[in-house]
Amino acid sequence: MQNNKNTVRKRVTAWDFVLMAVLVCVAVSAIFIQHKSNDELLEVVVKKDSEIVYTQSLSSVSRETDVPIDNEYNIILRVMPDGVQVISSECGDKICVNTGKITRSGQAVVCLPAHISVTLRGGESEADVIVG
Amino acid sequence: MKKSKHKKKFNTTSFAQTAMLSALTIVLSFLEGMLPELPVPGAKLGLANLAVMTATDLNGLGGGLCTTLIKAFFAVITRGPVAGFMSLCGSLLSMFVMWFFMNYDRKKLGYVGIGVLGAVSHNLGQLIAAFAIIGGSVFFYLPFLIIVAVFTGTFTGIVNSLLLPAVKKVRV
Repeated sequence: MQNNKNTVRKRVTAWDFVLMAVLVCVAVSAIFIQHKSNDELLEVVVKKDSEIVYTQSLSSVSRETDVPIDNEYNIILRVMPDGVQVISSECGDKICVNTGKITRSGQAVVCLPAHISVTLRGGESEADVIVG
Repeated sequence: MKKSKHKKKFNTTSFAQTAMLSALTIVLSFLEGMLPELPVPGAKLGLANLAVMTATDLNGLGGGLCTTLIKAFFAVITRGPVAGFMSLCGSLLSMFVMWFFMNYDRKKLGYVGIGVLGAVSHNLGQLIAAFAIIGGSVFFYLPFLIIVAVFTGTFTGIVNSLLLPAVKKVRV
């Protein structure tokens, strides 16, 4: 039973479909759980190297406010009543800016060169997502 | 193909193949860099995984490791140490996972299954790297990346199922 080395590997087997189905199910349910979490009472948490450098509850924000975060890359965060967005950064790849606005609990904007992560959290269910 | 794959001698053919496949990973990494970014720091679709999978299948752990290291070195010199570290973590994990299943799954999985496992572990490795750099909250992206990886992995698997038998046939 050790091996049937002479058989040729097939292109697709039933096990491949089982594998893909399991992966897609896990991913979809994880997305579902993330979206089910409380979207009321959102709070912005900005971390640099796992240290919290800025927090702001969105319910107390009545209009758009721009907040400078990081001196090295001049990251500017725009806090809005319904979400948050990195509007400018001097990092190389601009992934943080291109991520756009996040509005739901558990979503995050990350700027890797600056070691900055901006997370929205709200409700109790956040323990699932925030690991650091 | 008489010997088991991971005991293979590293001969001239393997050497040439590893060199060519490493060059291919560099080209694929470059092409991938021209595609629009995923909304994840530094995470890539994993097209270059195609060549890593070919190298691992043909030349075992040694070939896969060489290809991976050359790819990461290229990432370091072109996109900086952070990207290089992410590339290294992603492809190393992916390469080990693919190598393991290629040798120990008793051919239960097809090429597509191996490709999907490789793509998912590539993304997982990159997220682990991002987590090491930045901590927390990056795993939020994992479900989306898994879904993307199922598609890219299927593509990788199909391409390799067409490519590998032909390459093995011309092996001297």
